[in-house]
This record gives sequence, C-alpha cells and structure tokens, in this order.
Amino acid sequence: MIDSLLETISNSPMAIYMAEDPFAFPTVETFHVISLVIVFGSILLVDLRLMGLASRDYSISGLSRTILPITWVAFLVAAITGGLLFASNAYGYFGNTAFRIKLLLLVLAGLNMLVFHFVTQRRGNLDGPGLVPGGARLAGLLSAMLWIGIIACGRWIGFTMSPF
Amino acid sequence: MDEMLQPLIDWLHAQPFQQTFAGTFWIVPTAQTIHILCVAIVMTGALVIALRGMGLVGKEWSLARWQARFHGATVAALWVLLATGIVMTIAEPERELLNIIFRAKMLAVIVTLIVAHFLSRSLRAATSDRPIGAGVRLVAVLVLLSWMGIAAAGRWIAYAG
Repeated sequence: MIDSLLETISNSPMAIYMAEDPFAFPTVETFHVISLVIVFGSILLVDLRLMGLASRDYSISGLSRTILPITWVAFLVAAITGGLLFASNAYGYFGNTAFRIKLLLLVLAGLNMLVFHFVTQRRGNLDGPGLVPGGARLAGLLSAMLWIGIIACGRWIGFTMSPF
Repeated sequence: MDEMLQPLIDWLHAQPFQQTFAGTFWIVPTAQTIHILCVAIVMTGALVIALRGMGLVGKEWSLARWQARFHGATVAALWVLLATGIVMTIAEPERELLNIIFRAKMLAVIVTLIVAHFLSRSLRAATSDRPIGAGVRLVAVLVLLSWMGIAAAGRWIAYAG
C-alpha cells in the first residue's frame, strides 16, 4: 500500500515538476526553511513564557492568542512546501532515517500541544502573570526540545540523501 | 575578488583545524542546525516588531517593551550566527568565499544590522500605545523582509557556485 502511494506521488505532475525544474526545489526549500524558522521562533516565544524564563508579565493566554496565529500560518506554508519537497523524491525521503525521525517528532510535538491544550490549560489558570503550574512548564520544555529536534533532523536530511 | 581570496582559502586548507572541521561528519550539520535556530530567534523578533508596529499583534505590550524583550536574545543570536557562520566557512571555504550569493548575503547582513540598529533606537522611545510613525513602521517591515532575503540567500548558497 505504501509502495503504491509513493508511486502515485512520484508520478504526479507536481512531483515531476519539482524533480526536474532546476529552480523549483531550491525555491520551495527556501520557503520551507523560512516558514519553519517562523514556526520554531514563534513557538519558542510561547514555550519560554510557559517555562517562566521570559515574558513573565505577559499572560500565557494573551501571548498564545497573539502569537499562535502566526505559528499556524507559518506551519501551513511549511506543511505545503514540505509536501512538495517530499514529492520530488518520495521513495528517497520515505527511506531516510532523519526524515522518519522528523515526522515522529512532529507527531510528538502535536500530541504535546493537544495534551497542553485539552488537559493542562483547562486544569490551571494561565490568565495571570508569573509562574505557571509544573505541567505547563513541562509542556513548554518538551515543545522547545521537540522543535529543536525537528529543525536538526530537517538539516540532517540534507546531509544523508541527495535532493533529487 | 576570487584572486584576492584564494590565498586565504589556501591558507585555511593548510590549517589542521580546517581539516578537522571539514573531515568530521557532524560539525557542519550541527553548525547549520544551530545557525538556523538562531535565524529563528532573529527573524521572529523582527516579525513580531513589524506586526506590532502595524497594531496586529502583542497589544498588551508597547513597542518599546517588545523591543526590550527581543534585544538581548537577538544580539546573542547574532553572535552565535557569526560563530557558526565562521565554522561553516572554515569547513568549506570555496563554497562560501567564492560564491557570489554568499558575498551578497554578507553585504545585506551589514546593511540590515545598521538599519536594525537605528530602528531599535527609535523603538526604545515608543513606550506609549500611540501608533508609531509610518516611516518607522516601514523600516520595521523592511528589516523583516531583509532578514527573510538573507535567510533565502543562505539557502541558495548551496545551489549557486
């Protein structure tokens, strides 16, 4: 099933364009890197607040409300451009260990966000300034570590496989 | 320009530390990873400042407060960017020093740093909720776009010889 899916992706006109046009891959990769950088930077801003290391006089709910829309827009661009990069060499990426670890870390970062949103945030009062409960601080630490891992794996992909 | 830089490249190749940087498989990817993480810190600061200048985000804080929040982190990240950039250049001197996009990137970094310095001085005075002048808003957006262009140039170094 995976093989037929990878074959379908590889034979799509977009995948062929991405693999054959000399400017397509570098251009899409540039947008991918910039959007990922904004995803990480904006999440880090909230994570540092959760950990109590910065912006302690800004409420977490206020900071999340104002910063996370930026994160989501950047994440959408990163996901689309990431999909296009994957399509350029679906078999190669699928077999790459750094790529697989990156996807696993992305899933873990998503789970961490869901647990924080649906459990930690509902239990504790995060509307005020100052330190937050331990669960929220742990969520911030995990998120920052996972996203550093995601960026590192993304870079290691470039050193462990040819782009085309 | 290439002829001018060639002796430096030859000298670097003769140094044991250059051979260590180039021959140790994890040094360049690790330096690049740290480089990207620091780009994230610089670019996010510029993005939030530009958006706050337009009144789109972070209204609980004045621009001066946001500027103070990002200043230390941005300066620290810029020093780490310089250090990791030097490591990458030592590891692969031809790839960087003989590359026209690398040179354009370095020029853009210098210009952006100068403009960003004057922008930060203007923002320190923006302590009230009153909207800042259109000129300062424009410069904040230009600084953001410039950092994005520099990040893009960084990626294109790999593709342009």
